[in-house]
Amino acid sequence: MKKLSEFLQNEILVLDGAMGTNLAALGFEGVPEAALFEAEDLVFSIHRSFLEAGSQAVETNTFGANRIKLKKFGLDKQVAELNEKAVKIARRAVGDKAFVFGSIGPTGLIPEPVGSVSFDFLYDVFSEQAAALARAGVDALILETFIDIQEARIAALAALETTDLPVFVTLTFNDDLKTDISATTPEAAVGILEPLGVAGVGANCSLGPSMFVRIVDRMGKVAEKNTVFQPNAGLPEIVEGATVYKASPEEYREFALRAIEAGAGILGGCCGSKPEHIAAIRDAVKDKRPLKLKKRNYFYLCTPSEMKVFDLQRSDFLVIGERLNPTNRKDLEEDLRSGAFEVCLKEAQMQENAGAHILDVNTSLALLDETETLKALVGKLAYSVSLPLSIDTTSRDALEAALKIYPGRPLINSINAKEVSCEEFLKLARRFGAPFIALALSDKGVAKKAEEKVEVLKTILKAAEDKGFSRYDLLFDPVVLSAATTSVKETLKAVKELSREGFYTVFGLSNVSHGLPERKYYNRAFAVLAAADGLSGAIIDPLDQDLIKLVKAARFLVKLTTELLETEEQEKQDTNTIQRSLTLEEELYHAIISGQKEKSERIVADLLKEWEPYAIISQIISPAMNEVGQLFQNKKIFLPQVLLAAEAVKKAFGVLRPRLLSSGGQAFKARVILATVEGDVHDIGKNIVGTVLEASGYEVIDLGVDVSPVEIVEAVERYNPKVVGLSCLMTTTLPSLEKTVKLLKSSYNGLVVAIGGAVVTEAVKEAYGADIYAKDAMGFLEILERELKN
Amino acid sequence: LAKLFPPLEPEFDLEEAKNVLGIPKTAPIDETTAIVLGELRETALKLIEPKGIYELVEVEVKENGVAILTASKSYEIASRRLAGRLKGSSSAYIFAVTIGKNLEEKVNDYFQKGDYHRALVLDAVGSAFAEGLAESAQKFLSSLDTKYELTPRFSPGYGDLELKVQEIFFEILDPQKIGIQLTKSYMMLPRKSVTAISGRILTEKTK
Repeated sequence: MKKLSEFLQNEILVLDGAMGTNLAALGFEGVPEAALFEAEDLVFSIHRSFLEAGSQAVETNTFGANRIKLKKFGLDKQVAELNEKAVKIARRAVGDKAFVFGSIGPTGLIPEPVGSVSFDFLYDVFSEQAAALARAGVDALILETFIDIQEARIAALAALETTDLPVFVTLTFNDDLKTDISATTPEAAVGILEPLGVAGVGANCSLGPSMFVRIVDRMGKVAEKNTVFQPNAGLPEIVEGATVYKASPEEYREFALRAIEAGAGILGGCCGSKPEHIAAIRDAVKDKRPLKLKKRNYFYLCTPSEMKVFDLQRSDFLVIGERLNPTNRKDLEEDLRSGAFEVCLKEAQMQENAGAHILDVNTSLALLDETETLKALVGKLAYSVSLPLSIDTTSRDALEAALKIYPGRPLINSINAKEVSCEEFLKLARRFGAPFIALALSDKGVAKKAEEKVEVLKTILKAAEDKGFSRYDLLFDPVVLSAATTSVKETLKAVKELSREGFYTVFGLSNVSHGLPERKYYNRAFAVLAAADGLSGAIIDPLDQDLIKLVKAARFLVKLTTELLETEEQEKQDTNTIQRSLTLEEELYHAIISGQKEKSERIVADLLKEWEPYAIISQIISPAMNEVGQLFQNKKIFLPQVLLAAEAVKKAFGVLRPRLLSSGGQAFKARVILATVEGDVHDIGKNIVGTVLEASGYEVIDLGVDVSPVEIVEAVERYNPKVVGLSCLMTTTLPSLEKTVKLLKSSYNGLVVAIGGAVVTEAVKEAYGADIYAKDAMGFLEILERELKN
Repeated sequence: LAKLFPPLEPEFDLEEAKNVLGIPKTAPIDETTAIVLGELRETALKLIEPKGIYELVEVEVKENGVAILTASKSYEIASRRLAGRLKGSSSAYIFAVTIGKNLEEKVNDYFQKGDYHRALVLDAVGSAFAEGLAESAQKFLSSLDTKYELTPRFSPGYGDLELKVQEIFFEILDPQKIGIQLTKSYMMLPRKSVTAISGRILTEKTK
């Protein structure tokens, strides 16, 4: 058999399916790992059946075989024994016909900063299991089903540093396409884990194969290494007391084809998947080769949740907020010494609101334990702001502690060319996959002449490239000294030279005005000069909006004279490439989210040539409206954009509905009657609810405003709806709401009565006996969908 | 008898528009909505018919409320918040303004046609003009007698000032004359109407 690395270069690897599900199906009760002792034959035969179905690699039955999980069964002293046994059974089952992957799952403990378990403790737990699997001779390790990016990071580092094996990591995403604990997006998962050195990132478990497509696409757009996917066979459903999964082998086949197009290299199944599913994947991948993925040619950082890509070649001027630095700041100093971090949080928030892209964090103070303080503050900030952090320290230990605790991909500020520190700091940056600011400082001191600055910086770049960094991981700081004592012309010259060569440049701006009166004017003037020379960003005070506007204006003016045409041309090309690479489905998805009516209508008409109308609704329109709901909930968009999206969907439904009817199906999910109660003539809120419901496939009958209880009952008789939604905006009309709700609930069994409006609350719902209350249309839709499912 | 305002030019209260659109103060308006808003603001100027009516009344401010005295009758209003607002006043203006019903009808048209976004934005524009009209009305009133300053206006439904107080305002002003009706549940029709009370305080100089 070929070596794994060779195999993966030329072929798609088919993994196996679920161990737990199949053990249960064969009648084994208890934790799957116990089967290693109690039912070795079953484990063997499951491996065998997957091999026969076409798996080219099987996973050891060791998902929960770590010290923490095993302790519950009194087996925590037998980690090595269990893992070795599992590998032996797998190997015996597949011989040399398939690879054996050592499976490692989460511990169930939550590490800092969200939980309280330390990095080092978990690192030991994972090292122990990884070492045992490696000793027993697995071909690779697969870390799977992680829902906290921090635990995944720790497990990956432990596996990589304890063994020489390729390490794959998969996370589990919820239907918002985020992981549960750290809310990590598919992009961030790739952006954080790949730089650690893992052989591939992906997803497992989660939703069925049809929803998986979105994760696959999003990971594929940013991944450098082929991705790994093992979907559930749909969401589990309980049928006659047993858990069943409904995705068909055919769905797996289609999923596999789509995933390969998006860059997947390893495919298999998770909960609910059986040999027939694996056989379907194997059938799909034959003759297929893994896509060659592009290297990331941009600078990016990650918060625990999101990947932030900065286009420093063109549009973005990187604003690195400098205010979290206790130098000359009494209030911050006290805050850091007390460990309260209240001032720090406020400063962080202010800078975020002012539009900073990155927050620089510096806690260096005399007589303060920097390692502890920096670690604590970075941990605190990790989830309190949605900006990535820049770790600003000259202490190796403090840097290491901060890199351990930050569950993302931060920036290191900074690494210089001094012999004693350069190698050490680069090692840390490499270990945690963090990009850094390179500083024009060497054993000879700060480089003075422009040529010296460039030379020192290139020395650092060379050393970094030797360690596997790319030029996109470095920001070059030529160092600014006070204009009162040195000429700043050399710094400007260095900026110009470096940016001409396509390097990213940043510096700490305020040094320039040290010792000068009215410093802000010197800061601003210098920033403008450097921006004109191509400076990519600066460590500055984001609250100085004038400074930022001046820099932007300066950059615009310079572009206007020398590069604007070129840039526009480039942008046009970029948009074209993007449009070419979008499939029709993706275009519809985006058209809905951005509220493009005519486009949505047109694409649906096109899609109908190949797609079933139901599939368009369930696989494109509903997920798009879900995303709109998410964006609304997270305050990324507001009501007007929701309505634009709803209009686009309405147009789409206009095209779909005749087809739904002609194919004998139902044109609507359910019929809903809406009314504003008697005495109340507000209709906007009710109309918005109606709009959103229609956009989600409901038939809405709107009775208008000031509708009496009797009229509503008459309408229910006539239309026989599933749901009645009542709107009430004023305290004076609450009695009429009460009367209507009670009349409806006492007359109709099974009718869902929903209420809303400015004066309605959960308590009102309880008191009147209504079924649903929501504070806005999107919330209503969410609850209604859930309610109707039950 | 209540007097009619001279022709008033309504201001445009953008904050109110954002409020109706559900956009927080600190968030920007998205580009599409901003463009539509600008366009519908022009449309609205052709649709609205600003009208207003006001009356000067004596007030007696107490701890838990305010007594309003007109030439013919006195009314007791229980509201600590209103008492707080009118503190230091012995007289006050009560007024009602409306931008008329055309704009609301246009909003309904949009909704019927499925132009939800435009419907919402025009409704917000209407609210912004109604609030802006109340602002212009107040400015006019404060120009009437420079010996006085006016306290910020307060409307039924704010804080603890019950909507029921509309009955009193309607009795004093009789705003049916400018086309505003009050429903049994104390809502005004057209909806884009505002009633308010604003106290008069002698300026420092005058004292």
